[in-house]
Amino acid sequence: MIDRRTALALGLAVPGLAGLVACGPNASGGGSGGGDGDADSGSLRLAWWGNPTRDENTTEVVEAYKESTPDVTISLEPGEWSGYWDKLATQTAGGDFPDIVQMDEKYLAEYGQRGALLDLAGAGLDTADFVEGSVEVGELPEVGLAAINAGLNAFAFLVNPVVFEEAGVEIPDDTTWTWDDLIDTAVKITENTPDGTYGMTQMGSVQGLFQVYLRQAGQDQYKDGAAGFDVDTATKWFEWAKEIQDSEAGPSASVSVEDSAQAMDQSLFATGKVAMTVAWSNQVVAHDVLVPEGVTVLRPPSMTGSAADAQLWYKASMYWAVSARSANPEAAVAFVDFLVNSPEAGKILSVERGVPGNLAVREAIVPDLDEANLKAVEYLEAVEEELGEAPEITPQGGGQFEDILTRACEDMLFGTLTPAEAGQRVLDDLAGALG
Amino acid sequence: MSAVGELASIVSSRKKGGPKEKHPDNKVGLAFMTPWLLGFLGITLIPMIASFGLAFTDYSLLAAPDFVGLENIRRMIADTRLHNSLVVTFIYVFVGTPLQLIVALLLAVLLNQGMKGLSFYRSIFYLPSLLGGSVAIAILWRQMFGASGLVNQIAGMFGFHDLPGWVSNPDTALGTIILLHIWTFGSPMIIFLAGLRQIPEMYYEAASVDGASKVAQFFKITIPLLTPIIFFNVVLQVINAFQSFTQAFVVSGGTGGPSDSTMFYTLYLYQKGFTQFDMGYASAMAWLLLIIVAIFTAINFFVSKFWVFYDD
Repeated sequence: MIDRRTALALGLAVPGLAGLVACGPNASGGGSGGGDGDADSGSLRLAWWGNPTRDENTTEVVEAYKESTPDVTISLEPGEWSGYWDKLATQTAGGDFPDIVQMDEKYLAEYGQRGALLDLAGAGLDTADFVEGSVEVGELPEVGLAAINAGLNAFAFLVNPVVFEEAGVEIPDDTTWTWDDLIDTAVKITENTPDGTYGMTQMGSVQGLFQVYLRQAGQDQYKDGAAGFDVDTATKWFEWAKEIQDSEAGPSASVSVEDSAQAMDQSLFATGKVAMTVAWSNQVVAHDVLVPEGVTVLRPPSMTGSAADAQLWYKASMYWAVSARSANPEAAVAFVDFLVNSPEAGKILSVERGVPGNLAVREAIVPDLDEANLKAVEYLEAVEEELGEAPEITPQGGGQFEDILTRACEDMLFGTLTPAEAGQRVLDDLAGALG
Repeated sequence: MSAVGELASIVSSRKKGGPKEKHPDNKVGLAFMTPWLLGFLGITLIPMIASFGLAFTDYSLLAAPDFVGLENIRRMIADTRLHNSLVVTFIYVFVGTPLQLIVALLLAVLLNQGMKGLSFYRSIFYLPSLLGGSVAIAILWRQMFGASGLVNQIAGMFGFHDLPGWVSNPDTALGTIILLHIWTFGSPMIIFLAGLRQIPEMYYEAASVDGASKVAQFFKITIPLLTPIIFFNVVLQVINAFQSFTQAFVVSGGTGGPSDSTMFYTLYLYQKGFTQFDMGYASAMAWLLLIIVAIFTAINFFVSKFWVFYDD
């Protein structure tokens, strides 16, 4: 019989059983027990996010360093982009920040201005060989050189020439094309190919391209630590994004959402279902191997129909930074010096993290580059004359901007917001995030 | 486990005549419980106290916490995304839990018919509960309900072509996660089965002699006598559902999208704390969740007076 006591006993026993279950296959055992840099020995921890290629070349470069400096041991903490930042935040809170971290522009101010990063210039890092403008992108007021550029990037369009050929459409001239030309070209491709193949991906939620658009309108993402654009420009951007969907230049909202969640090799672009997509130039190589005849790299379109007004900029694809609380700051800075200033390291790392800002290293590695890597380098050199002013560094809280843009864009594409409302939402949410 | 120990002590104290018995020296008992006690203090109690303190601070993880009083609560009142996440979570809890329990009960009744190979079926039906909360199944779910996933392929055989992806459409994404939740009916089912075993066969015999149909027996005998178990399952599953995280995190790729349609409260809390460096706010949110769960559990206990039948 079930009486009050039995029910009570169940209440005690079942959570206990649940606890047992929790010890089963799901409980992966949180304590990874990563090496913590001991003060007395020369041991360092190196954390980065990336892909298999990058994991490989980073491991290799650490081994090369060990040969020349055998008294330093470096433990490796590779990760993936999304998990990387969650992990780094919790490690920071626990006082367990790795000695050397790969840093992104979005989070540079977040960590730097809260005192987590060492001033590399003050620690004596040599930056003499760096191309002008490539060191400054790592400087923060009151901190100094919080991080050193690990490679340069520019925003680019990637084209799958096979899809263009199938559609019988010519690849447009990227020095003269406009935003409307882009959609027109994409519409033609969608029309001339079987159902389910599109001219372009939905680009409305791509932060890099949004920034290109803003800059061509004489604005930018940030100005003086706040949003640097107005609601009119944001509205026009969303109208343009809506046009991609309405004209069927690109896929519908739900297909786009799904595409953005796919791994790169499963994406519409990699599977030949879309002719044009966008990426930062260090991703050219990764895309190139996925497409049978390789990709063609184009400049983003301009509002005026002249590449001279494209307002591109060199972004640090990523940085190296050293923890302000590292037990071995000298050893850590020496290793960073090896990473960015030694041609030996440069040859191993190649341009996978972006084209080196250090000209001596760049000269040493360019002759050995394969075709795919050369595409990225040539693109960067081609746009050098057309660059606009360097943008402001992302202020604290700006790391959320991509999420904010994605959310507003999805709501707009699914029809819950008008482009004007989406524009306003982006500004409101951004203001909230920057606080 | 402590629960087993407590259960044993209840049983033994009943045999010996209840709590009047003097407490023996329980140093040994405490020693055996040390691993659990350490875990409880270190992983549950102390962090909980800390999080209560942090709820009144602005804490970015990177710098020391700043006391801000009730600022986080004021922000929560104004935060429309938080309100949306509450709506999503409530829908999930109040649609998913009843459906899950109905499926669990029906299967338990079915399995209680004295069929052959019962333990085999019981294990098979329990399997989803072990798997459902796992990352692998959530990934599988995302594939199955994708635009070109299994579900749409089957629909295609029946002539429904070009359906959009279920997980990438804001109108249906939450539904797929609720379905995943229903599928994890195993643990309430096992508890129902245990409850069904306790109902004496004689009631059914008497009822069949009187000519009551199986359906009437189910509603007049099974359900009333099972109400304590139903109540227990409702309480437990409601609490569980409020805390769901993994499914939404994996199915939406950690974004809560599309359009925040799968932005569970816990997922939003996680985003605030760990990707937006707003740990003070996240702590305040955690306490709000605790209060919400406590209120619903209290309501459950209060309402239970009117429908739960204890046979003592």
